[in-house]
Amino acid sequence: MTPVLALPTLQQLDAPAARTTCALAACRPGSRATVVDIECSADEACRLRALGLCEGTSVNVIDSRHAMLLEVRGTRLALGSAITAGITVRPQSAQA
Amino acid sequence: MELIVVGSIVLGAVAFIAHRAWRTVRAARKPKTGCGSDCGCGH
Amino acid sequence: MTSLQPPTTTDVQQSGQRPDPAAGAQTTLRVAIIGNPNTGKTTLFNALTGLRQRVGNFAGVTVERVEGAFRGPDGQQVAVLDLPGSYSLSAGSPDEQIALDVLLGRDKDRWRPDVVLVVVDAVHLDRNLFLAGQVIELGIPVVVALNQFDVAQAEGIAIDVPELIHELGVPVVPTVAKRGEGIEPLKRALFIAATLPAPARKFALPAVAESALEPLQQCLVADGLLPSAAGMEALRLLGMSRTDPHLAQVPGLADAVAVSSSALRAAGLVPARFESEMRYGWIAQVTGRTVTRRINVGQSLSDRIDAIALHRYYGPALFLLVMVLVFQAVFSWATPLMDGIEWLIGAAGDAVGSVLPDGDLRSLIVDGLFAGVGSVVVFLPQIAILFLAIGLLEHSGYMARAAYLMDRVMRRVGLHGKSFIPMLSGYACAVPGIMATRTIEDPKDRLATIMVVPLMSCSARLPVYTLLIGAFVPPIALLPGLSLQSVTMLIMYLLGTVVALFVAAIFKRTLLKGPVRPMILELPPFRWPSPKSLAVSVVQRCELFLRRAGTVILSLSIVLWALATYPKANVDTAQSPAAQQEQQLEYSVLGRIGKGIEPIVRPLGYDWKIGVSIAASFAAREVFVSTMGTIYGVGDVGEGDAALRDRLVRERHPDTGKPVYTPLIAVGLMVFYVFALMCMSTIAVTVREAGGGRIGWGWAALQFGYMLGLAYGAAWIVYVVGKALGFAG
Repeated sequence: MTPVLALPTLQQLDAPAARTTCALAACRPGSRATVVDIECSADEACRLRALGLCEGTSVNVIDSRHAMLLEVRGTRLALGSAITAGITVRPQSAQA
Repeated sequence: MELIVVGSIVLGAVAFIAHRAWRTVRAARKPKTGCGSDCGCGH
Repeated sequence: MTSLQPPTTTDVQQSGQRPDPAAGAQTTLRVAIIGNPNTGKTTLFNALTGLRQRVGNFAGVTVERVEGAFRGPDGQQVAVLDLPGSYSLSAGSPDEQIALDVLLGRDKDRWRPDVVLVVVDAVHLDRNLFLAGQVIELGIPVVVALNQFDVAQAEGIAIDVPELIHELGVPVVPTVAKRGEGIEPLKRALFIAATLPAPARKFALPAVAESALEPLQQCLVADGLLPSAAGMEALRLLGMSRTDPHLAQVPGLADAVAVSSSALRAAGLVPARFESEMRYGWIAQVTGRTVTRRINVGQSLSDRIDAIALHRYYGPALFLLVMVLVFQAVFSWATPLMDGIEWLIGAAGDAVGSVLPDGDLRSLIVDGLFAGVGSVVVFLPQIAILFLAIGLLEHSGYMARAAYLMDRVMRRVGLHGKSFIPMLSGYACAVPGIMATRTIEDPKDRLATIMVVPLMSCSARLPVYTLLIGAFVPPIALLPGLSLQSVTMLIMYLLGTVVALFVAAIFKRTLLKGPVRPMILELPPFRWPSPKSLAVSVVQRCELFLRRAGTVILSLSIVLWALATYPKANVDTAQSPAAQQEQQLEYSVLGRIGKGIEPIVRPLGYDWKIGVSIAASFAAREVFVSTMGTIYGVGDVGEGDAALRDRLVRERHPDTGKPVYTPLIAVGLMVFYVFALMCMSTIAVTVREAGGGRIGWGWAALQFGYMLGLAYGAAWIVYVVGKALGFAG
C-alpha cells in the first residue's frame, strides 16, 4: 500500500469530504473513520463482526505498517493488510 | 538375597515404563482431553 | 428479571437436544463458563472452584476443556466446565466450535449445562455483550459476571447494574476475579438462576426478517434445537460461509439458509450483516441506558507502553532485549541454587552410600538413583525461572504484542502473526504449544504450526544445554551481566526458532499449500500479572517436573543402571581400577547396545556412551543427562561427588588418551538436541491434534522423521565443518 499522500480529504474536516469513502488501509495513523462496508471472506467478516468491527462502527487508526493497529469499541485490534484493504470507511476527521 | 531386591526393583521400573508408554499411545488414539500427568504441560 | 420468558422454553431438561437419563434425580448443578478471551474468565473459574489452571492474557489460553467443582451453601455439588474463550458462537476456530457444540448439546462427550455463566469484561461491555446476547438466546438459564469491575471504575466507566439486569433479563453480578470479590454472590446467583425460567431474545426482529427466517428456524427445530436456540442459530448461519460443518450434516439446512437469505435480500437487507446489525443495535440501546463514561480519561498507561512496545524500531529491540534477559536469567541467576541442590544430592548420595554395604544394591541406589535422577533434579531452578518468565509474558499481555511484531516475518513464511503465540509457548513445552494452535482458524496453517512447534527449544532441552554449556563454554563476561554461556544458550534457542520458520515456509509451499491468511488479533490491555496466579503456575510446573523426575526418569534410570551393570564381566584384576570399570561397562548390555550404535553416531564424532545416551533419550530428552549420570556413576572409581560436568571434561578415550568431549562435540550434540524430537508426549499430542487415527499418526511420523533427519544432518555438518576449520574433534 502506498497510502495517504494522495488523499487530501483526510486532512479536512468539512462536510463534503466526510461523505467520500476510501479503503481502511489508506487511512493514516491518528485518523478516525466509520466503517461503511466489509469485503472479505465470510469467515473473516464473521470474526471481525464478533470483535466489534462491523458496518457503522467507528475506528481509530493507531498505527499502520505491514499490519494495522486499530482501536475498536475501546479494544485494540491488529489486522493484516489483506483485511484492511477490503474494508471501506468514511473518514471522520484527522488529527494528524 | 540382594539380587532378588535389585531384580524386583528393576522389574518394577520396567513395568511402570511399559504402563506409561501404553497410556501415552492410548491417549493419542482417543481424541479426548488431557495428555498424561508426565508431559509437564500442566493440562 | 421478570416478564421475559416465553413458556415454551421453560423446561430445558426435557426439551433439550439430548435427553439426560439422570435429569429427574440429578442433584449436581452443571455450570458452563463462557466469555471473550482476556476477560478473566479462567481466573474466575479458579476463584469459583479452587482448581488451579493456567491463566493467560492472550487469545485462547483455555484450549482444553477443563472441569472443576465446588459446593454450594447447602452442600449441593456444582460441576463447572470452563469453555474456551470465544468472541462469539460463530465457530471460526476449533476452540469456538467446542464451545458452541457444548452449549447446543451437540457434544456427546459432555453434559449440557443447567446454567451458563457468561463472563463479561466491564471495561469493554459493548463488545462483550455480543456473545452474551447470543448465549441468552440458547434456552438455558444465564448468569452474567461483570468482571474487572474495579478496572472499569478506575477508567471512569459507571455501569448501572440494576438497569443492566433489567435490560438483559438475567442475574448480573459485578466481580473482581483477581481478588476474589463477588464470588459468593455469584455462587448464589447461579443457584437462583437455575430455578428461573430460561431467558430469551431481548429485541425484536423486523417483521419481514421474522417471516424470512421462518423456514430456516423450522428446519433447525426439526433437527432438535429449542425454538429460541434455533432463532440464534438461524441468525448465526446467515453470516457463515458454506464451510460450517452443520450445513452439510443437517438435511435441507443449506437450502433453508439459501431460501431465508434470498428472502432477506428481497426485503432490502444484507444477510451477512444482519446479525451484527441487529445485535449491535440492541447493544447500543442497552449501553446507552446503563453505561456512563467520564469523557476522555486521557491516554492509558497500557497505550503508552504500546507506543514503545509496538514502535517500529524500539519494539523489535525491546523484544530482543526481553528474550536476552530471559535467557540470562535462566542461565546465570539459577546457578547458586543449582550448586546448592547439586551439593545436597551429592551429600545425600554419599551418606546413603556409606551406610549400605558394598554391592549391587548400593550401586543401584548411588549410581542409578542419585546419579541418574539427581542429575536431572538439579535443573529445577532453571525450569522454575523459565516458566516464571514465560508466565510473565503471557499474563502481562506481551505475547500478543510479540505476535503483532512477528506478523511481518510470519507472513513471509506463509503464516500470520498468531501462529507465533503457540511457537512462543513451545519454549516452555511443545504440548501446550501444540494445543494452543486451536486458536488458528485455517486448518492448513494450524497443521503447519503444529509441525514446527517442537523445533522451539522446550524446557526439557535445558538440562542438556546447561550440562554441555557449563562444561565446555567458558563463563567469560561479554558485557556486564551477560556471559558467553547465556549467549550460547540464546543462539541454540534462536537456531531452533529460525529453522522452525524455514520448515514452516517449506510446509506452506508444499504439503500444506494455501493462501496466506490475514491476521485478525486482539491486543489485550497490559495488566500487572497477579503474583498469586503466577506463583501458582510456577509451583504447578515445578511439581510436574519433580513428579516426572520421580516417576518416568526414575524408572528409566533404574532400567539403564541395570543395563549398564549386567551381565557381570570376569574383569582382569591385574588392570587398573579405571580400566576394570571400563571393561565391565563395555561387557554390559548397555555397552553392547552402545557398541552396536557406535557406527551410526561415529560420523558425528560421538563415542558409544554418547550414542547410547541419545538412544535412551528417545523416550524423554532429560534422560540423556540421567543416562550420562548413570554411565559415569557406574564407571566412576572412587571420585565420590565429582559433578557430572567435571567428569565429562576429564573423560579420555581409553586407547588414544585424547579428550572424548571437546567443545566441537558439545556444540554438535546441542545442535542435535535443538532439532531432534525426543518426547513421547509431543508425538502423542501431534497424533491427536493432527486429526487422530491414521492421518494423525502419519503427520506425527513425518514430524519425527524430518526432525531426526535434520538433527543428524546438522550435527554432522557442525562436526565436519568444525574439523575442517581446525577445531579438535
